[in-house]
Amino acid sequence: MLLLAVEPHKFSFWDQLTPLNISQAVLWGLGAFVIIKVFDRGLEALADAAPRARFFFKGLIPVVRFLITLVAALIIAHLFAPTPEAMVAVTASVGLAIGFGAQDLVKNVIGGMVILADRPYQLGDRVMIGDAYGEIDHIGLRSTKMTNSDDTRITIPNAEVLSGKVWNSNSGVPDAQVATEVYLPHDVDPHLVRRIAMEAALSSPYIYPDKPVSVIFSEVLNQRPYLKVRIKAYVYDHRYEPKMQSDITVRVKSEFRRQGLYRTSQPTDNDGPADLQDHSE
Amino acid sequence: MNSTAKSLSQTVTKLEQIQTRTLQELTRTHEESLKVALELLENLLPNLEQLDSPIASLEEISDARTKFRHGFLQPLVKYFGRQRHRRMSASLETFYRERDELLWELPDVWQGRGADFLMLFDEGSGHFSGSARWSRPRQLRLRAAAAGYLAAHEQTRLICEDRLVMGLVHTFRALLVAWEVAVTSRALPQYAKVVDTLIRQSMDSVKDNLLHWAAQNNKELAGFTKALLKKPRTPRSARSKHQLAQGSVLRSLEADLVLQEEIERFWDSSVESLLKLRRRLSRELESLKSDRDTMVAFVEGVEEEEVCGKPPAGRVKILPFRSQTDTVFEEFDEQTPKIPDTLSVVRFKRFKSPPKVHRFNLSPLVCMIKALADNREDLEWRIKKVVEVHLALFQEIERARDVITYAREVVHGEGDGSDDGAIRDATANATRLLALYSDQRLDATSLAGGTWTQWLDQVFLEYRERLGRDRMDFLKFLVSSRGRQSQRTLLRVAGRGVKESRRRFRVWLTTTSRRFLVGIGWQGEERSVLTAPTRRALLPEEYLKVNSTALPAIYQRLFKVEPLDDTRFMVGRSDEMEAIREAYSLWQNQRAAAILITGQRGSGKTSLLNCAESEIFTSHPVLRLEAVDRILTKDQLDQFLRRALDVPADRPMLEALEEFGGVLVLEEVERLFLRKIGGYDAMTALIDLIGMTQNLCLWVLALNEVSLRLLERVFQLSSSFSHRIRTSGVSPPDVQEAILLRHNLSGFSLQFDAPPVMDKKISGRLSKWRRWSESDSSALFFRKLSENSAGVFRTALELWHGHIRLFEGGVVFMHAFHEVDSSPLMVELGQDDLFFLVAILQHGSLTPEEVAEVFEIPLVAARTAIDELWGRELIHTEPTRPGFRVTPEALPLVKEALYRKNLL
Repeated sequence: MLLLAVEPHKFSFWDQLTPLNISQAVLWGLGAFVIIKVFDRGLEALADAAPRARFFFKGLIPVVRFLITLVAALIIAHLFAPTPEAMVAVTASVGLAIGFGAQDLVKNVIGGMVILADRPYQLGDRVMIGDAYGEIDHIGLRSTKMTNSDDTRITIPNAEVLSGKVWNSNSGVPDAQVATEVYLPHDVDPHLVRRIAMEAALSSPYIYPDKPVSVIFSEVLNQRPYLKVRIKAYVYDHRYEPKMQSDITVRVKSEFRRQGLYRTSQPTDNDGPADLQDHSE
Repeated sequence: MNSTAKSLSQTVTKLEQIQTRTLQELTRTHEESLKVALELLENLLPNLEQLDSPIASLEEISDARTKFRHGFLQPLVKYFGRQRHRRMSASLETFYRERDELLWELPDVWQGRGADFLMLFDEGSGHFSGSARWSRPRQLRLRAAAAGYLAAHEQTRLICEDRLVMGLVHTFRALLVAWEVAVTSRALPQYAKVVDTLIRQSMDSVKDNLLHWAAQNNKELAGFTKALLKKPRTPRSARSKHQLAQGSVLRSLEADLVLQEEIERFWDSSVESLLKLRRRLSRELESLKSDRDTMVAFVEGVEEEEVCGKPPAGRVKILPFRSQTDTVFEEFDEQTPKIPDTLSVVRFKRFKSPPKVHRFNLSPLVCMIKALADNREDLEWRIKKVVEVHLALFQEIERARDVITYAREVVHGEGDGSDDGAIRDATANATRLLALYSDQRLDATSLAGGTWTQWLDQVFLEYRERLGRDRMDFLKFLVSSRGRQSQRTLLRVAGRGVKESRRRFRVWLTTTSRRFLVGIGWQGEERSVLTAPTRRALLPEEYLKVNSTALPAIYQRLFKVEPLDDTRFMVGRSDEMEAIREAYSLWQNQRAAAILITGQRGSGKTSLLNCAESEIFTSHPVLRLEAVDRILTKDQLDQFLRRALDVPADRPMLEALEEFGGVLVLEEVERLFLRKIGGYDAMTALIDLIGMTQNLCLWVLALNEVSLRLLERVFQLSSSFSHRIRTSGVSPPDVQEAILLRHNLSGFSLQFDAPPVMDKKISGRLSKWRRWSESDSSALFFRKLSENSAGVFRTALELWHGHIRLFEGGVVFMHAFHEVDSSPLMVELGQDDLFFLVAILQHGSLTPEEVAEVFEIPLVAARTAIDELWGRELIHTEPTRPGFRVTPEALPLVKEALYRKNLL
C-alpha cells in the first residue's frame, strides 16, 4: 500500500532488475569484497609488525570494513533505485520485508554500528560477553567473534552485545590485570603471606612492572574459616593471562609449602573447601 | 555658390594630399623600424660570444653583459625613448585630425536645383548626371553627408591600422624574444634566422596593410562626391575605440621593455651582492692561510729545536654558510621591489569594430621572488661547499694544534718530561695535516669561477620560464615542445603502470584461485620436494666485525673501550654533572642527599662517576664499591660493607659510616638482588641503611635502567634518592662529537668508503635530498652509527672499531655502514628467550644457577637456555665476574625485540 502511495505508476522494482544492473551490482560487490580483503591484510600485517601498536591497526579494520560495505551498498541501491522517490519506495518495501521476517538481522546490524561508534571493545581485546570470555578477533556487522583460552571460536550476535554487559580486561593496550586467588588456613601470618605473594608476582616473568601489584585478603567462611588471598598484578600481554596465573600460583604454593603454611595432612570435610590445598583461579 | 564649389573641390584635393602624405610617413616609419630591428638583431650576434662562457667569473660575465646591453637594449630603449615607435600612431592621428578639420570647412547646407548642382559640382565629369535631376530647389546637408560617408567606410581602414600597429609590436616583441634567448640560453645563433624571418614577416604584413590602407582611401575618395547627394547617415565612428586598443597594445610593449630594463638592473645588483659574498669568502680564506702558515712555522720550529712550547692561538672566525646565504638574500630582498609588480600583455583578439583586446596580467615580481626562493637551497649548497673547505682547513689547523698540545700533555704526564717519540709523531702528523690543503687546492676548490655565474643564470632562467609559462595559456603549453615532451613522458609512465598492473593482477589471480582450490579441498597443498636446510639465526655479522687492523698505539689508547677518567672526552653530560654538583653541595650543607645514576650498560655511568670524583668530590674521601658476587641477604651486605670500610664485626655500622663521612659510590647495584621470592632482602637492607645515613655520607648508587624498572615496582627505589640521573642514550651529534674528539687528537686523517649503491630509480628520485645528506659518506656513517648504537657510547666505540677497514699512510679507512637486517633473529627469538634476556638485563648478568632459581627450572634447562643465547651471540661471559651478560653489540637489537613485545 505504501509503495503504491509513493510511486503508483512510475517506479517498479522489477523493472530495474535488468541483467546489466545485476551484473553491475555483482561487480560492485566483488570490488568491495576485494578492497576489504586488501585493507584487512594490510592492517593485519602492520599489527603483526608492531605488536605494541596492534590495537590501533586492528581497531581500524572494522571501521574500514563498515565504510566500504556502506559505500558499496549505497551504490548498489542506487543501481536498482536511481531516483530518491524510487529509493524511498525500495526502502519501504525492504522495511516491510524486514518487519515480517528479518528483525533479528536488523538488530544485529544496528548492534554492529553501535559497537563501531561506542567501541566497548576492539579487535585484540580480552573481553567477557555474557558467559563467553576470550580475545576478540572479528567484529562484523552481524556478529562478533572471539577465541577463548581453549582455542574455541565463539560467535556472539551483536544484538546481544547491545543488550548485555561487556567486561573488557585491557581496553586497547596489551597489558591486562590478572587476579590470582589462593586459599590458606585462617591462622597464617598475613605479613609473611603478603610478602611472599608480592615477591611471587614480581618474580613472574610475565609481569608488567610499570603497573602496580596488590595483595588483598579476605576471610571466607565455609563450614570453617579460611583466608582468601587475591594477588592482582599486570601481565605484559593479556594473551598470557592463564600462564601468569599459573606461574604465580606455582611460585606462591611452592613457597608456602617451603614455609610450612600448608598442613601436611589431607584435607577433611572440616578443613573448609575441598580445594583449599591446591585451588587457584 | 562659387565659393561652395571651390570649397568642395579643395576638400577633395586636400584629402588626397593628406592621404598621400600620411602614406609616405607610414612607409617611412615602417622602413625605419625594419632597419632598426634588423640592425639590433645583427648587433646581438657578435656580442653574444662574450657572454657564452659558463665558467667565466662574475666580473668577466658582468663586463660582457654590459657590453651586450650597450649593443642592444640601450639602443632599443633609446629608440623607444624618442617615441619613434609611436610615429605611426602619430601620423594616423594627424591624418584624422586634418580630415576632420577639412570636413568642418565644408558648408553645412547647400540649397538649389539639380541643374545648379550639376553646373557647380559635376564640371563635366558626368558623376552626377544621372542623379541630379530635381527641378525644385532642394536642401542638401553636405557636411553631415560627407562625415557620415567617411564614418561608414572607415572600418576596413581602421582594421588595417590595427594590423599596422600589431605588425610593429610583433617586430619589437621578436626582438625582445631574441634578447631573452640570448641572455638566458645563449642559443641565439640557432634562432637568429627564425627571429630575422619573424621580423621580416611582420614588416611584410605591415607593408601589405599599408597598401591596403591606401587602396581603401582611394576607394573612399572616389565615392566621396557621390555620397554628398545621398541622405546623410548618422556618423558612428569606432575610431576612438580602435585608437584606445592600439594605445594599449603599444603601452604593453613599452611596459615589457621597461621590465627588461629593471630585470637588467636587478641582474647588476645581484652580481654586486654575489661579488660581495665572494670578497667575504676570499678574506676568510686569506686569514686561514695566514693562520696555517703561522702554525707551519711553529711546527717547523718544534722539529728543529725539539722543544715543544704552546702552539699559537687561532684568530679566524668562520661564518656559518646559512648566515652567509641570509646576508645575500637580504640584499636581494632590498632590490626586488624595484621590479614591476604587474605587467599587462595586451594583444588584439578581434580587429572588427568594436575591437577587442586580450589582456594577460603577469606578475614578474612574484616570478622573481619564487625563482629566488626555489634556488635558495642551491646557493646555500654552493656556499656550503666553499665554507666546508674553509672549515676543513680551519679544523685541520685546530687539529694540528690539539695534536701538538695532546702530545705535550702526554710527555709531561709521564713524569720525567722526556720525549719518547710522541712529540716527533705529533709534529709529523701536524705537518701532514697542515699540508693537506695547499694554496692551489684551496683556490681551485673554494672559489671556483663559474659557480656563482651558473647560479645566477639558473635563477634568471627560472624566472623567465615562470613568466613565459604565464604568458602562454595551458593549451599552448601542451602543443609547445616541452608540453609534447611532458605528454610523451606521461603516456610512457602510464603505459608502464598499466603493464605492471596487468602482470600483478595475473599473479594475484593465479595465487588466489590456487589458494581457494586448496581451501575447499579441491587441490592439495603444494609441497616442495627439496627442503632447504634451516639455520639458526645469529647476530648479524656486521655487529661482530672484529677489527684485526694493527692500529697505532696512540689510536688504541684514545679508543680504548673503558670508562673515562679524562673530562675532556666527556660529551653531552653537562646537565648530569651539574646535578651531581648540586647534590654534593646539599650534602655538604648538612642536608640529606643521595644520588641514583641509571642508564644502560656502557652509557657512561662509570665515566660520569670518574669525572665527578676528580672534579666534584674533591673535599671528601671517596670509596668506590662494586660487588663481584651476588649479594642476596642482609648479612652478606653487612659483611660486604664492613670489608670495604674495614670495620670490625663488633663495631656498629652506623658509627663506622659516621666516622667515614665521605662519598660512598656503589656501582652495579643490580648485583644486590635476585628476582625470586626472598631475593630482595639485601636490597631492602641497603635502602634502609641509605635512609638512616643520608646525613652522614653521600650515597651514590649506579644501576642499569632495566633493573630500575623492576626495583621501582618492588621498593619505589627512586623515592629514596634526592637526585636521580639518567645517562641513557645521547643524541647523534654527541656520539659523533665523542668519536671525532678522540680521532682528531690522533692527528690521523679519516676516509669513509662510499655508501652501498642504491637502486638507480630510487637514487634518481632522491637526488635532491641526497645532495645534502646521502652523498656525504661521513654524515651517513655517523647517522647509522648513532642509530645502531642507540646513543650508547660503548656500543658506538665498539662499532667504530669494528668498522675500521685499513690504516695506511696516516689515514684511517672506514667501511661504509651497511643496513643490518636483524629481523630473522628477532622472529626466531621465542618468548622464553626473551624472558631470559629480560632477566639477564635486570640482573646485569646471570649464571646458569641463578637462571634456574629465577625461573624455577632445573639447572640443566637453564644451562641449555643460556647455551642457546650464547650460540646466537647475544650473550657472552662477563670478563670480571661470574655469569653471562648481553653483548654490547647485541644490546640495541635485544632492546628492540623486547620493546616490540611490551617486555621493556
